[in-house]
Amino acid sequence: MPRCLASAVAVFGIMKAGAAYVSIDPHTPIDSLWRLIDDCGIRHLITHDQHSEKLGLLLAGAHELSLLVGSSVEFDGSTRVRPWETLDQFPAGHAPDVPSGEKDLAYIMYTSGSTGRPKGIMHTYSSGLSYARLSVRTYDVKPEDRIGNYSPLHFDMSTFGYFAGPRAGATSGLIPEAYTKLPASLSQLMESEHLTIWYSVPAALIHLLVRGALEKRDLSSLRWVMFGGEPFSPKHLRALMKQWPHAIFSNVYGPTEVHQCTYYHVPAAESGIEDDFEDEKPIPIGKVWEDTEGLVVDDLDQPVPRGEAGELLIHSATMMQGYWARPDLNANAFCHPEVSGSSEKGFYQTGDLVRTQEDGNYLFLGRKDRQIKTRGHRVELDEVEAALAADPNVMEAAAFPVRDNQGSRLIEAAAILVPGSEALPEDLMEHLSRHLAPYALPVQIAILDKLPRTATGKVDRSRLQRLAEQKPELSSSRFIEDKIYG
Amino acid sequence: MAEVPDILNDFIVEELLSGRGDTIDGDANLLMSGQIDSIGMMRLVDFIEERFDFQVPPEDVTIENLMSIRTMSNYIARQAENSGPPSA
Repeated sequence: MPRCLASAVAVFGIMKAGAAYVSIDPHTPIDSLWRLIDDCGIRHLITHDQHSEKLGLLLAGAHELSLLVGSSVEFDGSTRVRPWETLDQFPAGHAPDVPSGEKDLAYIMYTSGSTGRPKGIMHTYSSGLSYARLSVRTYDVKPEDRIGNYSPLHFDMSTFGYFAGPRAGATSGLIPEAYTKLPASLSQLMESEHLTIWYSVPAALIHLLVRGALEKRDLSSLRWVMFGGEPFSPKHLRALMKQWPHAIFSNVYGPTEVHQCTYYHVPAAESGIEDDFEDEKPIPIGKVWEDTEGLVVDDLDQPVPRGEAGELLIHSATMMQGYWARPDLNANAFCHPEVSGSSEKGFYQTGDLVRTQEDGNYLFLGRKDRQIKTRGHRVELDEVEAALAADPNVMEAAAFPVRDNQGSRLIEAAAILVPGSEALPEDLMEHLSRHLAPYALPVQIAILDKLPRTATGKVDRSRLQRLAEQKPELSSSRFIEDKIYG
Repeated sequence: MAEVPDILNDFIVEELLSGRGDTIDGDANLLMSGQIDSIGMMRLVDFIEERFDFQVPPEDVTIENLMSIRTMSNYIARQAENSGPPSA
């Protein structure tokens, strides 16, 4: 579903019917869509005419689909089709009498898996409602609020607009996709809709800052700016806080497995934080919110002393039930550290390394594994590597992150071709685009005669990364630097 | 001299889509395809400024002007009318 009113109708309709929804990125490559539909046994697909071109192809390979809602185009085969218009004939007054309990499945959100098989994160009515309740309390959401919900439905940050907004009786504005690409149109929309709360990835805010014509817009209604998904570079944040001095800025942290779990309200400039910004000191992810416990532990699940790096473990009311049909992953996702005092209490192992500062706020340091965030999207580099290595032209492949200057990362890749192959980087990219989501595609693929190796013979990915970061050519992040500081 | 829509098409296909695809329909909505993200759109604006030698003011970076190759070409033509022929 694109970001539209029908998406909200679908979400609440599905839950009223006692079913669970699986949010799917409409731009997912077709092979992955088939696998996903098969993986969680989806029978009913709710969609939008915007995607009718892809639907025919989708239905041809997904025979288990019995009903397609939201298409005005008919397709061959056994799948029944119901256009949106025909739904009006159903009585709106009474929902089916389906008992639903707090432990029942409410939604599944898929995320990148390191083996190339995506993981379905299961949330229950209880975890979703806890998230909505805590969000309303933490950000003081009121009925008169107008929320700018930037994230699409398949992105877990969307739960703020879809659930926290309605919970408070506030208005949620689902930002259409086209506006997310053009900052001057976006700021126009923010102004005309008198938005009071904003929630997005930092990249969206940076684009507003650079190309949003903000000095021409009256955004005085904006009272709270929440950002999350990846680190916000302090200099951009400072520039934006100067632009909107009347708003509170909060760094929101939490893997999809727990919705959100920590927050940090960024102090205003006058309280001395300016100096921190000068140092480019990263913005802390803050402290855990209510109904949540956080532990920072070493590899043996023993707590580390304050100030030392360790993995963040989270036990929370907003925590997932587990991964869909993946007992292998579920066995390792949670642990029961002795220090928690209860062997019953499961803690989700975030895989994120943090350090507790003197003031008690957590500082995010990085990942334990090869998962990265690129423009707010979570990607397993091993998945990119596996997809590239699966190309018949490729003998060996490596994927690695390259830092940009916005606090985010881009993906680049290198490949050695099989002898005799004359494939060009664009051929490899063509192959990848059929297997990976657009955001997971490398910005560049280098074809090399050999890959740099460590003493033990492993591919030296950090060397590849250093080499890539030394390249002088114009990158999109340089472009942004020039616009602001050039 | 290449036509404006062709110049835009080549840049989008080669730079933003990394060679995926060939010719883009002039009326295709580039903002809904999922292939070009916001960074890509900003690179496109940068390219237009450089290639056609005029500044795109932030308030012009809108859906109306940049939705498709056709709307972009019309926008560029309007700018050219206002300030003499483009140098392309």
